[in-house]
Amino acid sequence: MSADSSLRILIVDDEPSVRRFLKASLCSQGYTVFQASNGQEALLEFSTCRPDAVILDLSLPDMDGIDVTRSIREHSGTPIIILSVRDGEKDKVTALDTGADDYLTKPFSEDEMLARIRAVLRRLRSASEEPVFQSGHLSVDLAKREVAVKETPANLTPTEYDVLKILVLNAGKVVTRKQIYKAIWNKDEDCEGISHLLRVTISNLRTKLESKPHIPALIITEPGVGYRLRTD
Amino acid sequence: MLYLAAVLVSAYLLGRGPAILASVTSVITFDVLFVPPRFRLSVEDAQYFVTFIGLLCVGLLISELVSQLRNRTTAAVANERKAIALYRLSHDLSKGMNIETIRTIINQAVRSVLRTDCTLFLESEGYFTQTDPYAQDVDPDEAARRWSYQNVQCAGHGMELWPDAKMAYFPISTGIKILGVLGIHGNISGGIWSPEIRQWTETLANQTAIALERVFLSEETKKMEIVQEKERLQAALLNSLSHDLRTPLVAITGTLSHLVNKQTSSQSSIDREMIDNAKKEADRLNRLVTQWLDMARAETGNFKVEPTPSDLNDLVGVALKEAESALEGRIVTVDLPTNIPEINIDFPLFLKAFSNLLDNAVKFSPSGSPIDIIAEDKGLLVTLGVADQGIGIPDEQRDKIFDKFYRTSQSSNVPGMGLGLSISRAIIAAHGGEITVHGRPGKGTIFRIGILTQPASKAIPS
Repeated sequence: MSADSSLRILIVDDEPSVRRFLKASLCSQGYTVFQASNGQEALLEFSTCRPDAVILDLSLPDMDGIDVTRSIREHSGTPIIILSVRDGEKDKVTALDTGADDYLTKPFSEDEMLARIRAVLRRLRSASEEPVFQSGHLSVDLAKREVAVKETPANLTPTEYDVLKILVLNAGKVVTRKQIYKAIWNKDEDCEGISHLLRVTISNLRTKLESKPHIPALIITEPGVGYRLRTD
Repeated sequence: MLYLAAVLVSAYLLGRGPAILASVTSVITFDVLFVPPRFRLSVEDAQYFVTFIGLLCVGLLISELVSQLRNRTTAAVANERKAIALYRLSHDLSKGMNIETIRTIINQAVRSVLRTDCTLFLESEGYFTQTDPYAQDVDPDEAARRWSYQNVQCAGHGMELWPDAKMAYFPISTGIKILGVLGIHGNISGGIWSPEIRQWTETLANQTAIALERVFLSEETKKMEIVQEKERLQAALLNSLSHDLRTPLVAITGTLSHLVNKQTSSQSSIDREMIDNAKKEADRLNRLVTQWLDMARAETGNFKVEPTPSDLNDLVGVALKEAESALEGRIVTVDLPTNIPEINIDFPLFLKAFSNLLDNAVKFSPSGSPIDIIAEDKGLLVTLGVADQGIGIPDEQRDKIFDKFYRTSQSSNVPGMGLGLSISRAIIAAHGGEITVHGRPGKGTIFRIGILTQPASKAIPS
């Protein structure tokens, strides 16, 4: 039995076939699974079963998944992973900026889904447990402000370090551009060229940290949404 | 003094002429009946002549004043009638929701005031469309109508210009736009175009213009609403199709990926092969569904391009990462100039267009052959090309490859539906760019996307 055996996950999707697959897959990993087929049921189930994470389909028969996210966020910080179709970038960004933690594009593989769940649950147990972040050749020590690639210290500018820090704190999880603007420049929207600054910073980080900067494998661009730092 | 009363009454009731007659008659009657010698016109005392002249003058004065008063009253009544007609008109027009109602309302107003009929000649109904400024019009009505329309002034029957026309024409203008002319049929009440009548008719034409403009605007709004509703329905249909087609794929792909992961001993190598095969086919089905939906979006104009400044390096990086497994064993050269300007694109859509080109390069070239990605900064234009060393495209088929479902004669053994390139072209066209195809010295093909850089970042120095 895995260490996650006691963790509870609420699945919200109106399609029984999708729920069946999610339930089987999550149960085989030792999670305890609860189900809801619409928004009202989801909110009720959420307050009674107190899950550790929620997998939420964006298109529900009775209410919008974004509204469900908002309702949950009013009183809880429980991680939410939304399920969305391709080409729904706008909805994804809205959901993420409303408080969802990550998303999966339908159809998705089991690996992807489990990786997302692990990433959001890991973040719950706070970064303090693992002061040194490791992924591939990269190691980041947030306490000492030290970044190294293959044990060679990388020389980052303060902005580059700040962006990397946000990605490390959310390792494995998507971070929207808006969240980065907010955290670093304290701006809600792209203004005064900060979106350009962010793109340049990301490009510089890749040059300094990636082994093949033209095919990024560490700092992944999520088209139309934001960036994700890959974890092993 | 009794006779002055007679003058007063006749002036008020009958007008100036009868009043003058009444004053003369009264003077004569007075002379005959009361001035000695009685019953004769002759007068004994010369002082009576002074009296007669005095009386006559007073009589004439009274008749003049009273008849003026009478005329003013009549004019006031007529003005009031016209004013009421205009008021009723604007009230009725405010309810008129189509051109036919407006026609009826205007005609009623013209009938009540001018005692004749009118006709609306509207630009929207095809009058004035073939206006040839040098045409020698034989028909004075036609000429007067055109002149009135072009010069926004009245002309025609009873006016200074084309007085021999059958109708008098008044421009229907909102002040900004001329919508047509109002033709008043001849024989108007009173027979002549007095300034008041003319003013009234101009006001009528202005009211008509306002009412028509409102009707046109509301028709326009209705049309736009219909178009919007149609687009909304199409988008809703596509969304529900997308949902319905993908939902089974979610369960299938998910389940198969679970089985692929679970490499237990209970699975024989044959089982594993079958599962792998099913997973691959499910992925392929998903790609086909995606392409179909993209094509449907392109055809119904549902590609909503939302451009943001983007980094081409990033775009190429994402595309290469997505195609990583397909590109295994190949040498991929990426030639992107440093400092290539950012371009204003819808990143996810543009990525789709570029990935299709990359997929084709992989599909139509021998495995292990190199693929080059070349970007060039040409000032106002940035090009992004994918070059393969594959089977190439015969010259005569180059024009057709962007057509839906078109597949070249040599591509029969390569899986696909012939949709990728037409989707890419639709996406790039929606960005205001274009895709071109070139042969390559030696062999192979280059597909090149050309797109304008952001005007802001490449301002032309004046």
